[in-house]
Amino acid sequence: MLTTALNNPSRYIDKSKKVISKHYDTIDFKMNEINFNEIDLNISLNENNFFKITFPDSKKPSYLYLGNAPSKTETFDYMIILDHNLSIEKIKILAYRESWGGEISSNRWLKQFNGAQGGKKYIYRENISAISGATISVKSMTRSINYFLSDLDKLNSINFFN
Amino acid sequence: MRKAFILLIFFGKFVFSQNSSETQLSNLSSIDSGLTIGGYGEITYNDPSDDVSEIDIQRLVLLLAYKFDDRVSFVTEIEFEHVKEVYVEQAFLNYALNENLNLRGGLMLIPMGIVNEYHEPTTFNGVERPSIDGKIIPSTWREIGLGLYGKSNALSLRYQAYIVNGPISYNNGHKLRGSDFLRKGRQKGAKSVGSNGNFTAKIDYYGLPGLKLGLGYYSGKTQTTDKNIDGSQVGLSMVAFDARYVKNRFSARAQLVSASLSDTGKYNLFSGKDLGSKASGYYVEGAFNLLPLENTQKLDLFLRHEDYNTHAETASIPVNGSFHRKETTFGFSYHLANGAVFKMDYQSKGTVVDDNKGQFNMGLGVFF
Repeated sequence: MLTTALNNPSRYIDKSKKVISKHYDTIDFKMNEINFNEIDLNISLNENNFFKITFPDSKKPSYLYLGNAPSKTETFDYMIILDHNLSIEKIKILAYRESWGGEISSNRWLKQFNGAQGGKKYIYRENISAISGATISVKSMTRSINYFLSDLDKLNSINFFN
Repeated sequence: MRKAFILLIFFGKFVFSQNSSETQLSNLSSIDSGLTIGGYGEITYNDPSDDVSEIDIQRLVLLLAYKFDDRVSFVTEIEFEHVKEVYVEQAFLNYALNENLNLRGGLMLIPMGIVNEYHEPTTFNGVERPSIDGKIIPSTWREIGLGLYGKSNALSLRYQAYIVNGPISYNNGHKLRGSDFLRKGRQKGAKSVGSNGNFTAKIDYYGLPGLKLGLGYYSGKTQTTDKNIDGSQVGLSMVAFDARYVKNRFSARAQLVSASLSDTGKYNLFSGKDLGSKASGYYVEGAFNLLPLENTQKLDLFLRHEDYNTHAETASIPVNGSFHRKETTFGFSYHLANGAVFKMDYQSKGTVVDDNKGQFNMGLGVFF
């Protein structure tokens, strides 16, 4: 099974906190572990790569996912911020290692995934635009997001987030 | 039995690197350093209407990349052309300063036009590369130099800028000529003469969905083994604009190149050659995939028209009309799998003074 989870997500916690604080324009939030112990699904989400972000007062929580996907000869690491409905709010590439294909880090290109919820499937060239010269990383990211959304869908089907 | 076992290991290794995108890389992320091997190859058949046909293993290329650590890697492309000639197309050290900026040094591809940078056979239509990317941009154009390579996520921009060695115009004889402009001046990184630094840069913009725009620039004096010889050098300045568009089953490309050479009057006077002072041209191409998008295979039907002139302008020599060429290519690229393509096309090649000649081409290409 192709895993899209990071091998060593802990080093990205600080970096993602910076992105989250910039995105919500506040430093007043907490990153909480989610307990996956009681579920028995074949998914790549776990307490090391999927977190709940809680805010003070009555502001609704958000979620953070740390993912990883292959480019031609390397892998790249990314993060997803999801809103309280578990819709994708923002994706950011945290580390792109390969010499080619780095265009997928473009904010404009990544915006295409915003609003997606569990179960949505993206099709390269149909609802995800191609980037000439970066076909492998574009397809890889599309596939990785599809796997993630499919995992979310599995969790939703057992009412995990309620 | 032992032979079969060895053969199995050999094929096993190839399957391993062919699936590198899927399986190997999940493992590679846990490796801190290492070697990756890839390659590409082209076997071609050309049948011109007025000449003997040729079947050729046009090129077989080994791509090696070695990762020393997270920041430093070495990339090289070693090519076997027509089975017997060996060339190095790339050999550079890449030092990642940060996420968005790299320093590079070594033998690198000059960022002019689409095909000079992206020349693997599965990435362009037509058995042969566009003629402009041969006769005006002397593909595969590579030089030894140093520079930067980076991107901006906020601006959806990729940029490159290098100081490089350049094409040679004089090496105990004048090299450049009218029909193919700079092509005979390619030094290919082999004991290159470096008399003058040249500068090249490119910006690629990918902020609009499906569209990639590029603008490349090159300038400098050609190299010479003896600056005291009259007319041994010319000044070169080239601009190349390119666009690529992909949406659903449709894709298109366009490229526009314009190059000027200074002092060609003097060059031609002392060499007796017919080098033009300006070369320019363009091509436009459209393609449509006949197979559904969900299919892993693709069958791109394409049409390309090229119009280029290596004697767009001349200084004190007559313009040779047969250097103004117009070529139309029609055919298909059948991608059997991601990285394996079967191509077939028919070309009608003419000039403003000569009649059109036809050429039929077939080829196989792989990239892994």
